[in-house]
Amino acid sequence: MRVHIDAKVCEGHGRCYVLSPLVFAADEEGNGEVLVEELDSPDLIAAADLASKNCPEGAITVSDGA
Amino acid sequence: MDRLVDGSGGVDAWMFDADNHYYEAEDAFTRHGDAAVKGYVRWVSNGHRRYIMFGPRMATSLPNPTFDPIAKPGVFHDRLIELESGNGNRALSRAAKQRYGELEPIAPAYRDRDVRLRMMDEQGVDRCLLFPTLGVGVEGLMSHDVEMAYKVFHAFNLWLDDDWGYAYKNRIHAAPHIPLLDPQLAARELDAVLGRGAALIALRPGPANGRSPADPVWDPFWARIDESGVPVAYHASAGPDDYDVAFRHLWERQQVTDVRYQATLAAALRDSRGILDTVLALILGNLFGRFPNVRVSSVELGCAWVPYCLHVLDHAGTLLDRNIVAFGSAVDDRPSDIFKARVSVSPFPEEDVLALIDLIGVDRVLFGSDWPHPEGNKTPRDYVACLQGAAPEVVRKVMRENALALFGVA
Repeated sequence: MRVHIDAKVCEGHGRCYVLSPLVFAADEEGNGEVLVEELDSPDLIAAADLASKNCPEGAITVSDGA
Repeated sequence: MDRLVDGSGGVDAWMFDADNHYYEAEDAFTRHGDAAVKGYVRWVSNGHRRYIMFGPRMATSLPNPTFDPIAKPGVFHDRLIELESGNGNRALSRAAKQRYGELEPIAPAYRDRDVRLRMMDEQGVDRCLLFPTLGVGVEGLMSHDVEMAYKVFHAFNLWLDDDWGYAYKNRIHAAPHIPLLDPQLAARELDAVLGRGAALIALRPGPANGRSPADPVWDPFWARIDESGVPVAYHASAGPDDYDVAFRHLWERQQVTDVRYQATLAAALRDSRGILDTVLALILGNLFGRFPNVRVSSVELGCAWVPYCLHVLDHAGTLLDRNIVAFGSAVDDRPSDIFKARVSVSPFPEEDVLALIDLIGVDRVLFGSDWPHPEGNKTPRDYVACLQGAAPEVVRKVMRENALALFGVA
């Protein structure tokens, strides 16, 4: 599984790195950035999924994409 | 009562009624809907009556959604006073005539804004907040089909703008309704109605699709409310919702042995639950700390829940600590003070309005007649009886100025 933040949609609410700091961090502007793109454990997938469900802008997608 | 001469309705029209209703046109949900909406919202007939369906579910919150014929305004009011006073311990006949009184053909003032304005002139009502009748009972019919719910309410809000306008002649403030089911779709619909001049937003009380309405996932919605300064009204709702699901889980998981008892219990348990939960969730979730301009009103939900809400708010935290932290920030102000600063309440005309004024302050109490619904006043000015013995400035605030202040008119 992979996780992606749409930078055009992210408004820097910071929910992703507050809720799932293993997968996301803040960039220098406070927007979310992905630390771990390849989610190779159930914990990481769950963490990315949690952030995706709680992103106020719907900017985070978790997918099977290669 | 001295009369205000500066109201746009003229010398005699001075009241601001925070709870008025229309009866929807039959194409309210479909006139501006695309083919999908027109296929989803359908009128059906059983040969005797016509009903409206939302997808596979029928709207059952009203006995006659065509509204023609319709009960007269205020026909339940005397009975509600009797019950509120502790009397009335007898069952009414189930015959419709005794319950609803003589029905009459639908009046033009319920559907035509210019006729309504003339009616308001006669009633002495300068301005009103205007809410749906059918529209407050259908969100829950679509909660499993979130995208369709937004399409349907987008169409409904366009119809509302057509037939009533969002601020017609600055006298009729009709409230677009926005479901809190999806954060991005809610923000998009809010942008759409604000772009067309919405001056008031109506929400359904209760949890927002499985989470708190104060959860930061809704911050884009509240940020827009905050920036626009538009007041939000939580209005009484009907139809299926998460409280039904909770009731079935809590009280009907084993075998149901008495259906009538279950129905009575369900109605009693849910009574003010939605608004109580909502206000607790917003204040304890620090929504008002994050958004200093957000003001919410409770409309047609009475005020019996308010003392208990204030009690719970000030006992929140642990047993001994009022240490309330939400989403990374402390709620420093006394929670009941936040209520009194940001939440307005429109009590039922049969309730003790003066006691509510003592409790939350004279600035937060809004007169609402519910006209022309049968549970409300026969005519809006009858509400003044709730304020018997109050000083003239108290009457002015409750009957007019408090609602005006929500719209930034001092």
